[in-house]
This record gives sequence, C-alpha cells and structure tokens, in this order.
Amino acid sequence: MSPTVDLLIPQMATGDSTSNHTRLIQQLLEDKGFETRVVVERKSRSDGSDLSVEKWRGDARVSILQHSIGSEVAQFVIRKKTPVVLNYHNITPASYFQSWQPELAKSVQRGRQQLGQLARLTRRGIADSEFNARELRDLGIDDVVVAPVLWKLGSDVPPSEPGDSTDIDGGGTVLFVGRLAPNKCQHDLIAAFAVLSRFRPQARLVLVGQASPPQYLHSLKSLARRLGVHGRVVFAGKVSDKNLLQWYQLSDVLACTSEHEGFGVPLVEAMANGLPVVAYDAAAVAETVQDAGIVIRDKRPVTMALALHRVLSDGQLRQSLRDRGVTSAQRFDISVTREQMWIALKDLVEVED
Amino acid sequence: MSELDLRQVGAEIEADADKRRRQDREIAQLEHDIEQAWADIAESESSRHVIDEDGDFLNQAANLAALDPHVPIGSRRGLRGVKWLVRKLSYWYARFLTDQFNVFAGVLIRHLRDVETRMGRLEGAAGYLGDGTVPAGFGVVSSPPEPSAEVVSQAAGLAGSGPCLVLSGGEGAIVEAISGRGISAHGVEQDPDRVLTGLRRRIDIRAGGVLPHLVGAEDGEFGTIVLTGLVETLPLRDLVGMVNQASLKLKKTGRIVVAVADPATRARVDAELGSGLGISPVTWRHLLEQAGFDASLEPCSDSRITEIVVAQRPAPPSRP
Repeated sequence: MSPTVDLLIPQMATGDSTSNHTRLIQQLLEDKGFETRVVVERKSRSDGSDLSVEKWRGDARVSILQHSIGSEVAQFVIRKKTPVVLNYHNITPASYFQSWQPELAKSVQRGRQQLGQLARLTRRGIADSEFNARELRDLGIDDVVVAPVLWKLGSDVPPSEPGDSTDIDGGGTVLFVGRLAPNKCQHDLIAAFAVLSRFRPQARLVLVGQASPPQYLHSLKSLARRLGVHGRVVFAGKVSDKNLLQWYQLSDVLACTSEHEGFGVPLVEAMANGLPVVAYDAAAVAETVQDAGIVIRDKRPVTMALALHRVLSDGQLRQSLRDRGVTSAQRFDISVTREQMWIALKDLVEVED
Repeated sequence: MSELDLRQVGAEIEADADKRRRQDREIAQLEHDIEQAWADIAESESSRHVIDEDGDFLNQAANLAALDPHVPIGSRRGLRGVKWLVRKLSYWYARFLTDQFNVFAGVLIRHLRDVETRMGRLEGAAGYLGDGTVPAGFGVVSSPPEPSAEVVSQAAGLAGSGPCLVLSGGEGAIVEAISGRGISAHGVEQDPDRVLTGLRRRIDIRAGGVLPHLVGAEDGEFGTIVLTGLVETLPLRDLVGMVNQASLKLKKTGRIVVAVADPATRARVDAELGSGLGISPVTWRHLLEQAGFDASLEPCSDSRITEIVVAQRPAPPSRP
C-alpha cells in the first residue's frame, strides 16, 4: 500500500535548510493524518529517509519534489513521467561557479535543464518567493503558489537597552550568514569592510558559513590580507544553531551583498533577532526584507560601507530597523508558514478516494 | 522615527557615495584599487582548481602529451579493410612525427618536474607558510586547554611594555589580564568557538592563523609577544619561523614570553600523534638564546605549565 504523499529530495542532510523544510512538511502532513514517505537518491539509516529513488514507483497520491540543483531524483521523475508538486527553491546561475568549481556549474546547469522538463510534469508549483514564482510561470506553469521555506525561527530578542540608541563608538560588528560562495559575493562585503575600516577602525566583520568551493574561501582570506583587514575579519565557518543565535545577538548589523537569493533565510533570522539589515537589492532580497531593512541598488565598496556606517552611527535608525525587523519577521513564523504550506497542498492531498 | 522612509535613506546613502566619489579622488582611487585587488586574486585563485582538482597536473599533461598513432579501425568488415589500408599507408609517416613529438613532450615534462621539485625545496628552505591558516598540529593532538589562573596571572605579570600580542589568545584571559594592567593588548586565535567566547566578553580577540598574523604585522610593532595555546601544537620548523618573525616584529627593548607545557608530559595518544609538535620550555630558552635574546625560566605553580620562558634583547653595551 503506497502512502498518500511522497516527499522527494536528493538527500537529507543535517543543518541543510531544504532538508529541514522537508521534515517540517512531513510533520505537517502527518499531523493532518496523512501517511508520508521521504524518497532520496540513496537511502541511509540515519538521515530519516524511507526509500531510495530506484525503488520508488511514483504511485503515491501526491509526490512533492524539492528542486534546487540537478539531481538523480529529478531525473527519475522525468524518466517515469510522474506528475509532481514542484517545490522550487531556485537554481543559482552556473556562471557563478564556472571558473571556481566546474563540476558544480555542470550540476546547476543540469538542474536548470531538468526544471524545463519538470515544468511539463508539474501539477502545481510551490515557490519560496514571488521571485521564484515568476520563474516557474515563465516556464509555463500556470498553477503557482507562494509559500515560504518552513523553518523554526530561532530568536531571542533581548530587551532594548538605553545605550543601544547611541553610536557604536568607532567599532561595531558586521555579520554575514550563509555559504561562502561566489554568488553570495562575500568578496564585495570584505571590499566594503575595508572602506568601512577607514571610518571605524575598531569595526569587525564576521562571516558565518561553510565555504563552497574551498578556493573561494582561500581567495577571501587573500583579499582580506591584501586589503589589510585580515585581523578584523572572522571566518567562523559552519556553526551550531546555538552559536548562530549568539552571533546574531553579538553583532550590530547584518550585511548581505549576495547577487542571487531565492529567499534569504538569514535575512529573516537577523530581523527576528532584532539585528538591523543592510542588503543589496538582488533576486528575492527586497521582497524578503520589505520595509524592514536598508536595501541599496549599488554595492560598490564605498556605497555599502556608507550604508553600514550610517546604521552603526545612527542609534535612532538602528532602533527603527530593529523594531520593524522583529515585526516583519513574524510573517515567517512557523505557525504562519505552516498554514500557508497547508493551503498550498490541501486540495491536492485531500481528494477523496 | 516610525515614519522613517528607508527607501529614502537608501537613496541618500547612494547619492552620498556618488558625491564622495566625485569630490574625493582618494576615495575613488581606493575603490578602484580594491576592485582591482579582487580581480587579480579571483583570476589566479579560480584557475588554481585546474591543478588542485586534477591531482598531479604534470601527470595529466604527460598523459595528454603522448600521442598514439594507432588509430582505432572499428569492427565493421568492409570499413575495417579500408581503414587498415589507409592506416598502413600513413603509419610510417605518423609514427615518424609522433615519435619526435613524444620525445619533445617527455623532455619538457621532465624539466617541469625538475623545476617543481626545486621550487618545493626552495619553499621549504625559505620557511614557506602555505596559506598558513591552520597550524600543523591543529586537530591532530588535543587543543591545549585555556590557561589556568596561575598561568594567566604570571604571563600577564611578565609582559613588559605594550602593545602586546598574544598568540594564540584562546578565549582571551591573558589579553584581559594584560589589558587590566593598562597595557594595550590583543590576541589571535584559530578556533572560532574560542574567538566567539572572547568577543562575548568584549575582549580584543581576532580570528586567524598565528603565523600569518605575525608575518603581516609591522616590524617593531610590539613591545611584548606572548606565545601560548596552539603554539604547543606547531612543528619545529614553524616555531623557528615564529621566533625569527617575533624577533623582527618586536621593538628594540621588546620581550617574548612563552607559556607552554612540556611535550614530554603529554598523555600517550597525544604523545604519539603529536610527535615532533611543540617543544619544551628548556628548548624554547635555547632557541631564543640562539636568536640573540637573553632568556630565562620562571617557575610556575600550574600543573601543566611548570615553567614560563621570558626573553629580552640584551641591553646595548654602555659607552666607556
């Protein structure tokens, strides 16, 4: 007997937002009384998956495919011509990886080719953001619903302190959270930080996230050294959820110079933790931040540095960003996003037998 | 403030930046230099994967360079005969050409291998640090624990003039104690968790590799350099390089304080894995004396670090 819903994902990994999202969809559907099964490329005992895709028959009432990169799972769906609900998290353009990691470039290119083929098999598209939804509509998918990524927002907003409305004397901690990757453009942030250091010699830049590809991390370190700011740039690597929360609380502003964000989970986490956001207007960034952060259209070093300097030196602005951020992040609270996801799936899974 | 228009703020910032670029030539030049720096680094680093990911680049080149004149002729009967005939006719000439090319490629690759070996030796002799961000013993032997109160108090007490650099700074206890004496101090630490803990206590701990940080400092920048923590896990070559670098980066009257445990007291697993990593206080004293310092051992009541090395440049001879 096949379950009602098959959840297809290339692999389940700890700390991966798409894997967490899948687990939460599974939890949502099981809470509603539906039987589910997680289908992956290769089943492992420890990752919570139930079936390898080679053994998947595609006969569940609904199959939901998570798609963000070329995968064997997507290839099986295409080969079997199984209609799916396509949960699209966007695919980073291959050009960002071409010169750094050609095999990753090939993989994302394959993902994009598969996306074109999957469009014909898609019953409904579920997109993290309006930006992603537009891409699906452009591929000819008419039925597209926007439902953000599901994740449990870790936040612990400390009460406002009187000192918080003043200039952060000559320093301040600028935070970036996310993979260290060419499309996230941390090199632009280090460049901006080098300019910021002229205005604020005690400032510090913290980059939290794993490097992919490793040569890019090496280049970032070389750049920081070349610009003379290596002593004030912290490469924190991949951190635990608890440490991440601490970084959010310890920092004074979150900066994002990414050129390709299908949604931007760290932007929301920062807002939820009362951390002001300064971000470059690209892809879905403005849509995620809305009117709760400073979004600039030019990320050349001087512009980005001035934006960060403004936030660090203007206590009132910081307080306003903090208040708006906390309010705005409530849009992505798990209770809200779960409901949105349920609305997106309800009529498909509740069909009477 | 709730009426604040953030789009307007963003537009103001962009306008301000444009104005500064127009009016301040130095800012415009700085921005240009920064962008150029990244362009240079990205170009050289992104092409590095060709060598890194293909393993031995020269082996790949050697394989590619060896031309094979034996053209596959397939298995279809009619075509096979024609191909065989064509191959036979052109074989002697192709063989003649490829032999010459293969000899040339072989000689070229042998020379390149020779150059690679020599460069490796040269880098070794010059104390090349690689990218230097991870100490050789980091992760192989257990990270040294944070210094005890005795070590903190004694190492901080032995620090001379500022500014003071603590390598590696751990969570910042020694930096904090030295700063408490009114001496400007900062630490450098490799382990992000320890950096995080230090930062939460508002101590000036910076993330990074101990050697690159020292190499990047100005000559004569520091009054005191404290060597402790992860220094215990570095190989001798790096320690010698560190003493040479510290000697350059110290002021003329500068002082080096070394607070490390004796590797001979390590537990068995660490002793076996960490063979060749770290040296005892006595050897530190010897090394520092060889580098021209007056060095002495100060007893310490800590159970791990029983002696602290203090080294200072000898006073210049007084004029008769």
